[in-house]
Amino acid sequence: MPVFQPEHVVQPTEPDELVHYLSDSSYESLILGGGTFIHGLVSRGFLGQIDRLIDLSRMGWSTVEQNDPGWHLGATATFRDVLESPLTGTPGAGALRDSLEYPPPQITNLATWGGSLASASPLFDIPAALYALDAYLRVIGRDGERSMDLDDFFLGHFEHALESDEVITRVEIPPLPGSSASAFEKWDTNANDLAIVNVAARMTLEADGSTCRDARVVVAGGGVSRPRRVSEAESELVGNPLSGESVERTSTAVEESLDQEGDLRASAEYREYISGVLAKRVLRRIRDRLTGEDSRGNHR
Amino acid sequence: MVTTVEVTVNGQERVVEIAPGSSLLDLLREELDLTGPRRACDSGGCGCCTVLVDGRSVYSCMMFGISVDGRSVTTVEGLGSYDELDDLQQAFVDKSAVQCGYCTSGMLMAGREYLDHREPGPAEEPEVREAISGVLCRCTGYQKIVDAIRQAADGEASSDE
Repeated sequence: MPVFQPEHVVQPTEPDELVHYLSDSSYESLILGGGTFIHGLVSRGFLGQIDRLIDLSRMGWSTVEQNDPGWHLGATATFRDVLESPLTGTPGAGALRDSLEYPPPQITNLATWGGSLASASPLFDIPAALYALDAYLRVIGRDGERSMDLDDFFLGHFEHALESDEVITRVEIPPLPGSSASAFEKWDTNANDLAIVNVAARMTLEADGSTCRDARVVVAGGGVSRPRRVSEAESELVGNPLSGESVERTSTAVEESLDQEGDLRASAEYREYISGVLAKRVLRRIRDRLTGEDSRGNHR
Repeated sequence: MVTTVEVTVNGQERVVEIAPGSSLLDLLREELDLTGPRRACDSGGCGCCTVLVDGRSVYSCMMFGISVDGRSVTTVEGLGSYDELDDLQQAFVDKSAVQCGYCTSGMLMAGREYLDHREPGPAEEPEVREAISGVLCRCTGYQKIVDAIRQAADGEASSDE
């Protein structure tokens, strides 16, 4: 097992400087955001030889801004930075607020948005919530800057579609109309656990205030290799009002549409069943948020 | 290669040379001999290593030492002294909120962050439990810890009035 003893650290302050380091293949480099995932990988022997750390903390990417009409979350903004921003007070971003309530304060204060995504772990909470909001990434690399949908970004366990010379600069959240609401639920065994199952969803209503115009339903957690949209469930919602019947049908679609994996923490069947249960809870909270009746405080 | 970190620790400015991959816990325990932050899981799962960075709690085993350059770190050694305990430390004594003691420094630092950042008003039990959710007590003695933090909150609130 390689010993984690990077010999070098660089702390770029400008994009050109950063891209230069990323493009330099004479070192095995590791990008440092908050760092909350790295020592855990080291202690489990999951990290190969690393020669150099590229520390992003001086890039000035820690801002959370309303960039009318959407939001820009800097790659090195912490979960705390976003939790305390006006963004999480809106019903449309309810899934983000929910997902940010799960990590303990020690993670909330240190983990970064870019790092949470770049880890490409289906076990994390934030990526599922962002996926339900149609968030996308801005990345820079040797060939310049580009946008990337989360659809294209997630490939599998710890695998993403960035090139080796690319890095996430920010997460962009498209406009969240007043007629939209979202929610997130996690199934875990303790306050510091990774997800057995995660479900996030978002709905946007037509002008009539009841018919669903657009929907996203996302399942993540230990039973899938990447956050997965469940189009069968979304089809049950779009064009219909959110009723007890549509909640049941959507829940069934979530339970039956994905072939999840089992492991020592939960069987595949258990995960699929719980996914359906969480889908009901998420949709009921969306309903409450759309009607202004969400008095729910802390999730636990 | 070593890198130089300038950091304020418990009110004192320190200059430390560390390897780039060293954790903040390495920096505190090995370079500054501050052993209040405990090394246990060493991967962010137990919370015994919790310290405050610029007033906010972090797992010092997860945070890189280079990341505290120019910042302020408080460990349990910075809360009070044997002769003059911090209000929260005194509350832990009053409520017998210590069993084996291994998690105590982490609990104190998580509790201190809660006390310093909480909304005005009574300290409700659910929010106190949420505040210490990142620290595991293997003795499962949570109730007295929660009682101690609530007592300290009440005391600090009344002293502010």
